[in-house]
Amino acid sequence: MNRNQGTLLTSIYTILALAITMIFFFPLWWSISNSLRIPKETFTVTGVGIPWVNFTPTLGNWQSQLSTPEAHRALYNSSFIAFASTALAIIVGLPAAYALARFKFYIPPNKDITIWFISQRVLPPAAAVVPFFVIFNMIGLYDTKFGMILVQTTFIMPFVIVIVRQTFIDLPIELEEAAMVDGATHIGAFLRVAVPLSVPAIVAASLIMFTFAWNDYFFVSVLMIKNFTLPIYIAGGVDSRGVQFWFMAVRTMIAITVPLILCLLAQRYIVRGLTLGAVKG
Amino acid sequence: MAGLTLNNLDKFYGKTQVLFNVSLTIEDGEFIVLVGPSGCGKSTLLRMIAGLEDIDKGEILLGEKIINKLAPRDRNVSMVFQNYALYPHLSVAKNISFSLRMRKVEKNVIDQKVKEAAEILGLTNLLTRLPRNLSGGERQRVAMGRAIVREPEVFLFDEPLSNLDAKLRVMMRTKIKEIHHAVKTTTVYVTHDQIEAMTMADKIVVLNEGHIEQVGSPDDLYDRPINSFVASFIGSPSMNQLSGTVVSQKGKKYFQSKNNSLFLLPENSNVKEGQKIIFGFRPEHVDINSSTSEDAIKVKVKVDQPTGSQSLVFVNLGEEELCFDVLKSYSLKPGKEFKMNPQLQHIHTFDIETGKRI
Repeated sequence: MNRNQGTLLTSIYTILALAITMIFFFPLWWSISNSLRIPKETFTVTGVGIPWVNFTPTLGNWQSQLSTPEAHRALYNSSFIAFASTALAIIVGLPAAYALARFKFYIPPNKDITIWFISQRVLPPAAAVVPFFVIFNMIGLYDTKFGMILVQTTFIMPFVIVIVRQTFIDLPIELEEAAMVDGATHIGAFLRVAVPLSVPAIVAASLIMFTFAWNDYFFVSVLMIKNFTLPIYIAGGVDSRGVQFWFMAVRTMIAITVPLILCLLAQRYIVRGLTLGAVKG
Repeated sequence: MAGLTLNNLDKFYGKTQVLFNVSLTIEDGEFIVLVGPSGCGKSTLLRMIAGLEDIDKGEILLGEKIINKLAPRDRNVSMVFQNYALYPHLSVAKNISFSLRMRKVEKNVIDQKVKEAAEILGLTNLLTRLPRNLSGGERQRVAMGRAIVREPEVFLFDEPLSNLDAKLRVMMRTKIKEIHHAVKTTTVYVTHDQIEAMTMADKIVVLNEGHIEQVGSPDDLYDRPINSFVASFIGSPSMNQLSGTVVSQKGKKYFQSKNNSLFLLPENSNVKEGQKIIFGFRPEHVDINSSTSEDAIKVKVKVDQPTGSQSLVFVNLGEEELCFDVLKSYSLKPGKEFKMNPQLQHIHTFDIETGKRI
């Protein structure tokens, strides 16, 4: 009797999970569906908008959007800025994380320094944007990719520091000590032992940082004009003629591709159990 | 290869002092064992030699050179850690050759040296494996391979065998000694196991709470412990130690235990009448039912633990417990009464206040 109840319960949970997933997935589905429809059918389609069943799909929207130079520029700028910001955040953030994990600071103490980094993330962007605007104008970084990279790096670096610092703390320090007795400098032990063993955490932090840089609308809207990125480009689907849902849907789909590919690639690198076997037990 | 000299070393963790004025001379090629209870500072001392801990006061010299300020990589020492500390992302071969690659040695020399080290330690078939696919004993041997391949001036071992089962431990002890005989490198070995210390060392340093209690050969420490701590730490089972007073009777000096039993003291003993002392003798230094002794003490067996050819017999002397290591042929079973007297030439006396040998 119990096993039957168990199976019934599992089935109910599964159906419930499926239903909730479909509800949350629906806006994305609607976007995909919209991108394949002619403008007229945006609101007039029946059912849930399944292509070939509820309407005739067309690639017209895709063709027109993908051929515009603006789409290419937005994609290129977004990619360049997000990748460069993530890379810079890692180059600067990993040594910071290591220092906070392994060295003892007194004024201010480690805990305070870490919390200060977190506070960068908590700071409302609106509070920082005016100073950035003024300073960038003064030093000529307004509307440059380089300036935007600096801005993005500032706000995404706390992620890598906080996440990877904890990973470094959890690494047995004997491994780095063994490396130093074996002839490595402290930096050598950091690069050859600590970093390779923290790759899963670094990849996870990088994904998060990349996504934040990729998705940023606020800073780009204030500090960029010609060098706009995908979020601005998507918002540009609203003009005097009204909201062009079909174009916005296509642009959104374009904007999803790069992070999606990265996530699929990164799955292979987040491998558990890298440190099993190094230390006894 | 060189000798090590430690001069007046102090070490503090914050406000707590963990090493007090430690001085030690280690000859070139010597196998010296630092032994003591947990927390006595032996690992800290080893790490200071390696350069992994700062020195608050005093000097460490390798040969003639003061190495206080040198980074670990510049000290030409190699270390085997208690939990092996193998690089988990590198194969056995890469683990062993790590130090040679750090020093930019040529590839064919590296391959040759790794091959030699692997042969000595029986690792030739495991060179491509990752640490997580090795047994405990195999990991231990890789850790040792990593240490010996570099031919350093000093080997440092930090309780390397404490995570192995008993049989492996005995095997590895022999292996380590074999390697030491072959390469004659100065070795500093830390352990809390006094049997390991006794079987492996040329010289033993007994540490307690940051102080050196005694330095000497295993025989020195066993036969002439300098104080009651060393006497009870070295030797298994531990030396019997009773507290009491010295009394005089019939012109001879006796030790009177808490339950008023009288133990004859040797004639050349320096104790004075009325002095409060600790009376010690090792479990095997006792005569059973000896017909020649008139000062034998009658006791009753509480528990016996046969250990093969011998038997450990436990008796109560008043409230205190004594242990004797005797031949099984005496058949001392629980409840049986017998007479015992400690062998006069193997009696140890210590001052009750200071614990020092009298």
